[in-house]
Amino acid sequence: MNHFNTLNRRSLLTAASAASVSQILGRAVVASEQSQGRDDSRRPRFKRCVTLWMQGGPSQFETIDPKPDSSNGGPLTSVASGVPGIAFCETLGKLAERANEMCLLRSVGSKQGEHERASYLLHTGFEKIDSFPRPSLASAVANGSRQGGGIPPAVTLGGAAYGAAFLGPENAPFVISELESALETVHRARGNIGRLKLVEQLNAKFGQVSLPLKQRSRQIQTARELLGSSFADSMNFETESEQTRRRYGENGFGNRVLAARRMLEAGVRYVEVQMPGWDTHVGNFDAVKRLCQQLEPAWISLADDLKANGLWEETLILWMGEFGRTPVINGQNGRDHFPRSIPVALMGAGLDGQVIGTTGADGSALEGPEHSVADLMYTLMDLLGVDPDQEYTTRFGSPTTPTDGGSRIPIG
Amino acid sequence: MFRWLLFTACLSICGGLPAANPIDVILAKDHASRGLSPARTVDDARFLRRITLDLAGRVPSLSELKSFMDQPDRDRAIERLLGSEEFVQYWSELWTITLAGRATGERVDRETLRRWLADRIRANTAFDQVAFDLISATGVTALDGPVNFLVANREDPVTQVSRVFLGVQLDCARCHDHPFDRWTQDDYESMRRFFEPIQLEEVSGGLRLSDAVADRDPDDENLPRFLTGARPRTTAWRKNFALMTIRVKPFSRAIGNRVWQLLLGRGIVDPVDGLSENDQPSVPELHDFLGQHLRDTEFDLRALVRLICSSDAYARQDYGKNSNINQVEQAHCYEAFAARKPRAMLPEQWVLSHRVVTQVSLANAMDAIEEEATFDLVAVNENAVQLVGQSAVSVGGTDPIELQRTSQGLLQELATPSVARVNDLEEMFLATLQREPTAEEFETLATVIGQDVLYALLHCNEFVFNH
Repeated sequence: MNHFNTLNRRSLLTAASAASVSQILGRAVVASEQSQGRDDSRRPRFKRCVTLWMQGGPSQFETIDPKPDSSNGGPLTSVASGVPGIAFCETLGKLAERANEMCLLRSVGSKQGEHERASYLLHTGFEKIDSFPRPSLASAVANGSRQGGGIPPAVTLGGAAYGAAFLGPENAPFVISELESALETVHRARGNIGRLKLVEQLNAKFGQVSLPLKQRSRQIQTARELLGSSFADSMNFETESEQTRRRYGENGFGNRVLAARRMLEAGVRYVEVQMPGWDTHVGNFDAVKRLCQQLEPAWISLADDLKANGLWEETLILWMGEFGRTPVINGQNGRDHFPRSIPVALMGAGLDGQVIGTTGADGSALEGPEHSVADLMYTLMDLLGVDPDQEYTTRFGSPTTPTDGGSRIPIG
Repeated sequence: MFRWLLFTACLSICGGLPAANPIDVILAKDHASRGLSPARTVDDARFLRRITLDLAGRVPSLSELKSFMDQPDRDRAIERLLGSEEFVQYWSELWTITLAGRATGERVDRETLRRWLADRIRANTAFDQVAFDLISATGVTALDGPVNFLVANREDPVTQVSRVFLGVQLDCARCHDHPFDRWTQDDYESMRRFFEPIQLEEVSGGLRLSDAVADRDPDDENLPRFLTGARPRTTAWRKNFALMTIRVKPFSRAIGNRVWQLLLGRGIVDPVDGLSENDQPSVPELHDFLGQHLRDTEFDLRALVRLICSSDAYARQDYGKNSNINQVEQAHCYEAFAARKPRAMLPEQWVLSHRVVTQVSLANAMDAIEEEATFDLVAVNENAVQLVGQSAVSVGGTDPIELQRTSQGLLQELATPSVARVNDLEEMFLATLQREPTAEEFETLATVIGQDVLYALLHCNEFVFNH
């Protein structure tokens, strides 16, 4: 490979696009190029992703990493899983039977124990710096897909959203805080589809010399397509049979996971479903039990339906939250923030019941390989077909990578 | 003010021209040195549209348009708006967004902050005093307006204070020394310490913010240190910090740059809070001048707005429709303020304009607004948050004014019901675009029903942009 060529091409790209692109992006990143070292033979394993986000920080002990023999273990029992040597907490007894389709990460940790900053970290792989916003994993996946037709490449079902930063607003997840009100909005906006043609006629005459005008015209066109698309219909989970809805659980979370499945079928690449309530400083055990009664059926139904509709082979299900919880049980029967250990579960074809790392006998320390959130992000990008080595050049001159110095976690 | 009017009157009687606006003198020199020929200034109707959007946050009503076109005196229009309650309300909202964002979370009493700012703007309080009060505030969120600024930014107060009042971003230095930035992690830490004594406690009425006494040896190496190197001289660290801030030149320049950005759509330093070794002012002399003007007028914000709005720079057009100027040349013209970059209406401007056009009978729009001089800015804020879209609200860049709309925000806009009160095509164009339909538009739209035309007008680029 000619090294000089690479350098020249990079500086040219930077210079040529500095003026024009920085107008689109405002601050941040102006040029990018494919990384040279990417091995083309390593195809992405998954095309789509559903993230089940446990907002507040899920207790690893009462979910996928029980410690029944430790005084930190708490009152709940554990059950054997489909993989010898792995047990789940009783709260996820049925899910445990699917452990052979999962990969459990017990090696990930961070130092960030504040909810908002930790959530940002787990969504983007970077510490939050307002003056240099980073794109979320959802927008990185969105950025690689161009299906058009008004289908948003990424969707967030929940209140906390993480944007596209320098990847541009078209790659930001479409945020649905509440399905019901979003349906209502779509319904009302649909009534104006015919009028949008008229808007486009007026715009054509107004002229499109400047970039912001072109962007707005494009947004209007995308919105018109979206309103007519199957995505708009996919929000409406109520058209599913009574039986299906009962399977997912007739509660907010169940409805959102069901809608997520419909969105994947419509062509969305990345759907995040948020489940609040995991910040269990008080009464951890009852709370987690209750949460899992909603989590488990929705999760299992999603997996079953993906197998039935043919999407299973290319869809990753990712389960995580902003941090784990303390081994020590506090005076209110609760567990506090424990970023040193962040439980992560992946489910999907070919993951075959792996476990990476261990949290030790009493869950108080990571033993064996330790991985940063940057490593986790690198690995997820790699699994989802986003080049984690692609280099960007920032406006203040220094090159940056999609992850904060991460490297691949060896998932077989 | 009166003397200025008299002076201009004398000059015009004597046949002379009023002295050129100093802003235009500075820019003319800059344009000459870059070899740029600036775009022309806009016609009267567009000027009225622009100035009403920027000072009152909405498009002009039909009656305002009519009386202005009868006697198109631009200075008088500026003066009328600057003296209006709408200016007070709209600019208090702009500053609230700048200080605390659009969606501020549960612990912040956003409206108390906004009302406090409105009182200061109405009284034209010197802006260095306003800044001092915001930085050094103590009290309870529900009662003491300014305290909400720091409560909204309690997680990292020094970053926001430096951004808004010094025009620099310290947050990169929070984690590491950046090779291209002047500020180091040590600078950040030393600045942060000024805010260390802050205490928050739950009280009825929200949160109480106060300072623990900073009990440190004056020779302690770990005393806070301002970016200039100055150390606090008393134990009231935050007050010391506030005083240091408003006394340095970067403060007046940062405020000048921000007002310029609010009115012109682009800062002289861009991004507006990003002054650094790499991001220098595009026209340094103008950057200095606006700061100097603030210091000379004892931080009279209205005087600065008046000066900027009466400059040719403020009134410039964008390029013509058929201009084939390339993107790089465009960028040069915009950064030298030789042409006006079209700027999407802020969501607040769209909401207020939409109300003027649809909710009040068009002919009486003006009267209606004067009657309810304080429109419901809480509702405006709620609508604006929906239009910007949640993701942009919670995870935008540094300057909430500049947040881009998201697609779900656009859907909200497109779903907003609008009821036309008149079916007259001409009136609809005048009420939304402040111009009459062209012959071609007349022909295409004559057969379309009024509701549909109005909808199209309220969402088309010519309406949605401040151009």
